[in-house]
Amino acid sequence: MRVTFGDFYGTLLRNLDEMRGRMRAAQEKLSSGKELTRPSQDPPRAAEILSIRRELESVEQYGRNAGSAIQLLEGALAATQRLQDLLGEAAVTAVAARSPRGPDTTVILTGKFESLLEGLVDGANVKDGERYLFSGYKTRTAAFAATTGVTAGGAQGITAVSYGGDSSRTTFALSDGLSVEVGIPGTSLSDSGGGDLFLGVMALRDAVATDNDAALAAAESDVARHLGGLTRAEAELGQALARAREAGGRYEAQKLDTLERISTREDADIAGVIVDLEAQRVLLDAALRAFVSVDAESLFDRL
Amino acid sequence: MSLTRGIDVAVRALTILRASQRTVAENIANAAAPGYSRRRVTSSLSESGQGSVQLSSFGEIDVTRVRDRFADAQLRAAVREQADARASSEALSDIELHLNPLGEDSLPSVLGEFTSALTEVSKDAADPIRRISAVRKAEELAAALNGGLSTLSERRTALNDSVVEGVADINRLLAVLAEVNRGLRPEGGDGLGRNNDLLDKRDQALEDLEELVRVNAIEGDFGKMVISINGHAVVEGDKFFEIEAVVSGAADPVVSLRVIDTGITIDPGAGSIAALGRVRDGTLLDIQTGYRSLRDFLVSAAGGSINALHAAGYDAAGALSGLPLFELDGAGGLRVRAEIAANPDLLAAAAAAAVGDGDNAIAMATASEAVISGGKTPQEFLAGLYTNLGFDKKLSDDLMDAAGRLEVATRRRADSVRGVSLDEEAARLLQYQRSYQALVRYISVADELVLLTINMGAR
Repeated sequence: MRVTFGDFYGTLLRNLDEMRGRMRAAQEKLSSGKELTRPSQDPPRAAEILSIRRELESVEQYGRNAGSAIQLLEGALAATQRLQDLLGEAAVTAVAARSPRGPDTTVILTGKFESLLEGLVDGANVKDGERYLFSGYKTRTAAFAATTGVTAGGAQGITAVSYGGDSSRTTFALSDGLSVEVGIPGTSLSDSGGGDLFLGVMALRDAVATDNDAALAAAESDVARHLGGLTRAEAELGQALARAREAGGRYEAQKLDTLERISTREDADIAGVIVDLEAQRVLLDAALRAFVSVDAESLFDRL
Repeated sequence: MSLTRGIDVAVRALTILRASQRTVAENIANAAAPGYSRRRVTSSLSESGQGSVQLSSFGEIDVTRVRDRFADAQLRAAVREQADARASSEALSDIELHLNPLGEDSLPSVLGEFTSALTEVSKDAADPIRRISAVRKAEELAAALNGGLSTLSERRTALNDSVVEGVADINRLLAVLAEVNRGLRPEGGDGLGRNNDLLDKRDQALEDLEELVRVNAIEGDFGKMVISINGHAVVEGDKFFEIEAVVSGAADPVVSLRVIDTGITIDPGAGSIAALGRVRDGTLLDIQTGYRSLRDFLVSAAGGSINALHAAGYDAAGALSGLPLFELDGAGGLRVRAEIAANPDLLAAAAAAAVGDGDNAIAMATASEAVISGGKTPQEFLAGLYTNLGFDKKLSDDLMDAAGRLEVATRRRADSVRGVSLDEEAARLLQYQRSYQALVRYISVADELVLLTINMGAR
């Protein structure tokens, strides 16, 4: 077969074009860090990547849910334990109040109960950021509002505590079919309704202030019951927290696994690409030199 | 043979050699000219009654092109297939580039973010920031979908524009072929080869035309061609029948080819114009239809849809919404209901008239992942569209590779016949030079002999 002028140069140009095309592809991989930037490069792999990305979105959402749930439950649990401490201190103070006391002791004791009451209201209005933890759905409304006035003992103090939230419980999904309640409403903080949590301490304060032993005994009993309620709330929150933590730990591993699966399909082997690019460059250089060498000779030089 | 007769023969041979040298020079000068076929000199010879070969009368030197018509026909077919596959690949690549299915801001990603934003609202529906974020993600989703539809519409327009440009090219080439037909004459045998340039022009025009459409070419006297496309004559003699690009369809415009004189619509068959039409009416239309299905899914008010749930839900103030979340704008695009876009507190996240209830938000998030078509969720549906696009493009690429290799092989074969080899021409030039020198010497010697003979007679 004759080798013509057009064939010779056409072949050279075609080969150079192909080599440059391969270099461009390698450079694209290097600059993007991706083996695959378009579905047409490997359609089945692209379909896998899109599917795994959907899976990753789901894992990340559940992971966020678990993370948020852990944060809220830890806050609620700590607050519940603080309320228990305060209520426990009220119970201990009530025991001390049984002893005969003078007017000064009465003032000190009533002041202590008032302080514990204020602490309970503050504790029950705990927030995570802008979110009240014990308000049910009404997360932007303080769970409890205290009204001050003249108490039974004649001093200024909290005379009523009203609940501003609702009885709803927010649930976060941890996976398909698995969810966790991320808090308890204020109405569930005590044995029989949230307001009683404070009434018990108010009753202790007023019983001491009015020197009413019978009322004091009844109030002590109320406080003990509400302590039990708080203990149950603490247990409930603890269980939910444990479930959320377990799910959170699982999702971290799942997320890493999913990211790795995407990476093996999508990311380029940079070292391999660099080597390939260098090899292409060397070949291109060699091809050009070969052409120059062949082109240098011509029969016309002999005419 | 007498001396005078010998001189006549030598002079004739010198003329042929001169023509040959001129032809070699022409070949060398045009070696790189596109579509040029190497020339060679032929002369008519007749045998005498004594068995020797004699040159016939002066004036029958022909300069003919060297071509293999079968190889040329094969090459045209290969060029057509390669142009078809390349046009298809480039058109699909354009669509893939603009849609960017694997990008981080692709439609599936934005859809996922919208679903996620609704889920975040459900976790704390009283949080105004989450509401704002959810409404903004809804707006981003609408913008992404509208952007995709707009991009696809632009791709359609671009493909149609390419077809229109192709039709203009077809007409230009048909005009060239008609002009060539007009110029072709019987060769005068004077060695000028007047038709050769026209024939080269004709063959190049034919090859260029085959890139655009499948043509049928029948050669008549002196190389005049009758050209037809899909059975419809478009070049006959020195006339050509102009083709126009006709746009039809308001929603999804389609450009078709029609012969102006007869009004007949013609199918390009194969070639780049046919490929553009296939992409436009195939893959592109499928994706457009898919995107519209997603848009319709989002604006649907059917039971269980996002809009139905939203209308039945309650806003941040505990009031019944009654509003859809998504609606169509006047141009068929998607948008978030204006009141909700302006006031995210109107996002109906609650399933009951309870402040802070986020149950409706989670229901809408779930609805955004409901089955849209063929048992697939919207994200799966989009992934299917993109995967099909990928497969179509890959197929085009593979066909382009295969057709490209075939085109190279057939071009090489055709070129091996018609192409100019500089080494060959140089060798010929050398040969003709020596032959010319020899003939000049012969004439010189013959002349001396004649003179000698004359002078002998004069003594």
